[in-house]
Amino acid sequence: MSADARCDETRDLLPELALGIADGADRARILAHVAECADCRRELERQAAIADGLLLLAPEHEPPPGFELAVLREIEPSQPVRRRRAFLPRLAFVGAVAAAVAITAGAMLVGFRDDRRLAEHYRATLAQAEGTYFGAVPLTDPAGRPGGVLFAYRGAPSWILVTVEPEHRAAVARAELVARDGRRIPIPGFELASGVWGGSLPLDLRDLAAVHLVGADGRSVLVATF
Amino acid sequence: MGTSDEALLAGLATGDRDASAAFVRRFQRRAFGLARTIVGDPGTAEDVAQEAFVRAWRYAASYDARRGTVLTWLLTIVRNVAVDRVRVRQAEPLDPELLESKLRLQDERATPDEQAAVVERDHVRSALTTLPEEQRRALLLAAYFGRTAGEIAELESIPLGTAKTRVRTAMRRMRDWMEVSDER
Repeated sequence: MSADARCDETRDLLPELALGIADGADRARILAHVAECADCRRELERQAAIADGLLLLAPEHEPPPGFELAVLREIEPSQPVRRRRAFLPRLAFVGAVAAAVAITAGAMLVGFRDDRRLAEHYRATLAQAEGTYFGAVPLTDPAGRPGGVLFAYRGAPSWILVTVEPEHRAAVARAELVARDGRRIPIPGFELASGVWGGSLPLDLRDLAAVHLVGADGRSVLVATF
Repeated sequence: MGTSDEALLAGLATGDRDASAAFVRRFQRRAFGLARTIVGDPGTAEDVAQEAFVRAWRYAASYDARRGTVLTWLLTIVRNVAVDRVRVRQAEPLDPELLESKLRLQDERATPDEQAAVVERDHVRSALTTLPEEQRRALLLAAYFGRTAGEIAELESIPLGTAKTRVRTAMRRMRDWMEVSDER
């Protein structure tokens, strides 16, 4: 497909992406193009601003009494603070991830129907966050079909973010890292929230060979290989 | 001038109790208002808004200022939670016209700080009124109810292609209108 034809196709799909109603396959195609086309990226931003503007039209309304307290009670740390910090890299980095792949809050899912070449392509075109390595690798099922994406960041510490397609989420019970020396390291506290989990790694990214998302029966549901 | 939205969000992310309380207080009317606009039932709206704040806390690190304001980020979360909730309660018919009537409310008297936001909302509101009715319905079904083109096609009893065209044309016209009105 020529560059212009790709822009045309992307322009057609941008409204649905901006409104958060695009399907996974379309989303992956658009994002791959948007990563390398400034014009389409600008257009996406304009459309996203309209989608945002529409939501702002809804009138304000005072919530019932006790609302604030109920919310604060739910977000009181009931787990050790350390666990939340593991999920909190510097804001700037995750901002770059979100900007680069247009992860929208809540939806948080990037469909990824292409092969590893696309992941390589992402590595080349996505913004480098503060001079450190950043890449994306597909999560595939035992048949080799894509079922999600894993984003990886080498830093101090190294860090990963996984996003899982809806059809696989229920099956994933836990996650394991496989180091290059063969060690299998479980990820403590791993839990998908709306198909997403992120956290720091207990080893350097260079030493990571694979990440397995494992079902309750011990079998790998999705695997990302480096 | 008080603390910025971003600073409050950062405080929420790190579990700062004062910042978290201030964050909820600052945005609860908007969050609850949007939830109520989408789901109708106040009890469900309360659940939706509450869940949205919890998600905002969990995903605070994913907020990116380049993609929009803290408010619109939060409202997107509210909308997504509401959409999931409406899906589960599929007995409720979706009514874009009822939704639209809620959106036509005038802005209350705004402070000078809020003037720019009011003007912006007026632009979007007037852009909406320029759309043909079927495009406006499709756009509201997508934006507020998170309906895909396929779902809109079913709801409106139209072919999939027509649904896609309505959504795309509506957004293009909105974008064109907003650009013209920006060039005052």
